Amino acid sequence: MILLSENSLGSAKVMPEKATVASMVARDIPESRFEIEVDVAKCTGCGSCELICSLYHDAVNSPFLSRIQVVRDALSAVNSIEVCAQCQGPECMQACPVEQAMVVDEKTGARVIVKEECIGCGNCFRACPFNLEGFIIKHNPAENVYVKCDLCYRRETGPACVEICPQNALRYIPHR
Amino acid sequence: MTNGWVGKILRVDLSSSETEVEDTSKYAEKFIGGRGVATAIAWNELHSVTDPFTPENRLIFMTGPLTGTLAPASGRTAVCGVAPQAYPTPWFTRSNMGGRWGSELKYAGFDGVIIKGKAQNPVYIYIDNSKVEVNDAKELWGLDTYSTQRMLWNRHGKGVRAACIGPAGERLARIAVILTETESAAGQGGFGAVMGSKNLKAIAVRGTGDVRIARPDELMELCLKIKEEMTTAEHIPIRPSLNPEHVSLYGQRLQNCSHACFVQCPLNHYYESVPAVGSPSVLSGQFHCIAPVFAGVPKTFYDWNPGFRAGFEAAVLSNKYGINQWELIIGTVPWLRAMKERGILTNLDGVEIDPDNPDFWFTLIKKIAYRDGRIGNALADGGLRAADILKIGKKEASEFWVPYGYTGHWDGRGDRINPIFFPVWIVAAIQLATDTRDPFSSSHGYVAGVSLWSNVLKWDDIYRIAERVYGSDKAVNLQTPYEYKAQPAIWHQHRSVLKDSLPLCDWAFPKIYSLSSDNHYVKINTSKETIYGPSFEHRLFTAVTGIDVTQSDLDRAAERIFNLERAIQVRSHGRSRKEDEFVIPYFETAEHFVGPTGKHESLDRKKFVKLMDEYYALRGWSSTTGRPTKEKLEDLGLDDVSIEMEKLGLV
Repeated sequence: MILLSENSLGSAKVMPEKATVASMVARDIPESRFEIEVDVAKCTGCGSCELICSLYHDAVNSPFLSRIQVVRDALSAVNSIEVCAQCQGPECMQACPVEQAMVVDEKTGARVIVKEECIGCGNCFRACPFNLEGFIIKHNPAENVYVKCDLCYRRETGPACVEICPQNALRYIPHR
Repeated sequence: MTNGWVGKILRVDLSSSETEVEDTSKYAEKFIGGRGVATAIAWNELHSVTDPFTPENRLIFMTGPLTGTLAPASGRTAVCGVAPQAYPTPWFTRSNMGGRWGSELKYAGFDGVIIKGKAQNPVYIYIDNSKVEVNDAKELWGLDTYSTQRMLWNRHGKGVRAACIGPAGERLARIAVILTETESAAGQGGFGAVMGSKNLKAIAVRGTGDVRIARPDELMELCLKIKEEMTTAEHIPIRPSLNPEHVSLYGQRLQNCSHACFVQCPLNHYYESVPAVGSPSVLSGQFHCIAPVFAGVPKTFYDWNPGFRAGFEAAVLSNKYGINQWELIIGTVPWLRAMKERGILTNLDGVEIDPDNPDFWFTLIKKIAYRDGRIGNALADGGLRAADILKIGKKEASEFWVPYGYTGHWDGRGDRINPIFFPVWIVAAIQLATDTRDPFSSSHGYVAGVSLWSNVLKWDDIYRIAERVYGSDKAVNLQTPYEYKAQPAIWHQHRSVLKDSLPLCDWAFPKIYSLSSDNHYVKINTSKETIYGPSFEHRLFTAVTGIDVTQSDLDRAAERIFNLERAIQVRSHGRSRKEDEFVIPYFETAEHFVGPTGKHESLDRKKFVKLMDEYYALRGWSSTTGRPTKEKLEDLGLDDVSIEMEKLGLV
């Protein structure tokens, strides 16, 4: 892990080579740099963002695994779009008990769950103050790991959901 | 587990409440999915079923390999069976619906559901991933479609997606739809009544699985590029827009219907809150395609004016009661109005026929849904049957309904709002003649494509593109109205089959014309190659499934499916060339819109019959009987069909 708790802020260490995140910072939880901004009024509810998210991250199409969620019941218009805010001082990371399971990508500031290290304890899921309905951090039961938005930090052109949205309801912007 | 298909089809026998699961692969290789797979099942299982309401009829819900994927506007489901709306005798046909229901079914692990039998009491089917229940629907029966969906959420959670019927389907109205969400419906065919006849109120689904993709990177790139083309270029020459007054008064906004749709259809709006006129309530829902015509369109044939709010309310009521909106707007109301004008019928069991009056609409819709009164009961069976039952207005009905029981659609006659003109509707006439329903819900490609793009592009551009797509500019050339029309009709019939089988939305595909390329022919450039518009469906299929068939393999599969549909028509419903030609008198009437010739044209019977000869020859069907030949069936790998048809003396 990068940070076990508030108390461990000074004891972080450099991540070993095997970590899957390209560039990570270990001393502190680095600042948020980018986020996905949502304009829910523009959303037409097509769900392309959810489908491209699971396609990019899991090579399948499954809204259930998507790290972005269009909240809409079948009889209403879209109510909201839920996606990780990439918080400064992320409570999810602070709650993670495993070394290297939650890291920060230096370039984008994305708070990233490292699948290979995640033990599926669900601390992050419970710690996130925005995850009341389980839309921000989700459990992938097949692999017993938790998943959340990582801003597609490996993609050169930024988050896939932002790129696919046909209504420009999503924007990739510097963190506010 | 394969890519694209999730691998299993669920069978439910409602007579015994027994369920079974079979492999999709049994059908998918030859018949793809959706309409194709449903047709194969019908060939095997509906030998002598001609009564749509017999328990032996199948109600087949079938998705395809692209449903639930990122492929643009792929979230669709075919609904097939022997259809009660067909006139004079019901026959096998298809409908389809958007929304998310089909995607959810696949995430639950099923490519389709085949319903047979009849439950003793009202039931609904609940599919929770692999768990399937046939549950008592006593409390749901009688509810409208929106309340039914809400009640199912109360029982099974809000994530559940349901396809259901309203009171019209329960009463076996032949114009009853199966509906999901607020306005996605399998409309044409009257499959709501088939569902009602089986005592099946709803199929509710919850799925938390996935659809596997063979080549994720390729699919992603394709979809991103197609999205760019669909959103930066004008997809069709009408763009969606919001009405500022409706935005502020009623919360109007844009909304898609098919899952994964990148296209913003014109006229496709969602209204968050519209105060009702006929009751103290506030209404919401989708208002799409024909729905805005409920409120009337000034300076058109549909110039009634009950007011926007009443029009919206009428549209919502027809959705809630589960009635086919196309039939009401293009058929029922124009017919009633024409009969009133001609002094044939002035009121509906006491309520004056007056489309300017909101109460007329509300009364009409309720009467149909509940089969209330002599006229309501007759109208529930569709206009042509109503004319027979009431013994009035037969001639007037023939102005709005094509002889098969479906109202006009992009043919320049019954439908008097879509601006199609001579000779574009010659292709419509061939397609209608040889189909089993109004084909244009999945075949706007030629009729709407040429008509609408001719407002935007020069005819010379359209000729040049037609040469590439159809093999000759004569396919669209204004100077050659009766030449080379069977070819584009066949091309689009096959594309229609593919769209209903993969499936993909009809307004999104095939992509032919564009404003973004120099020569106005659609193309995208991926990192590896240039792909032209008409190849998009094929490329989406191969990226999703990883099955490297060629475009011509896929076209052949479409031809196989179309021939199998025809074989069912011939075997089970006595179809022949004679029935195909029923459409001729309809097209011999004058077109509604005037095209480039400057006068109202009508069909030249002699030339059309010659054109039909050409069609049968190109199809490999007998031009005297209209039946597929033995050689054609065998060539398409339908040997078993050929053998059965030979035994029956039908080839």
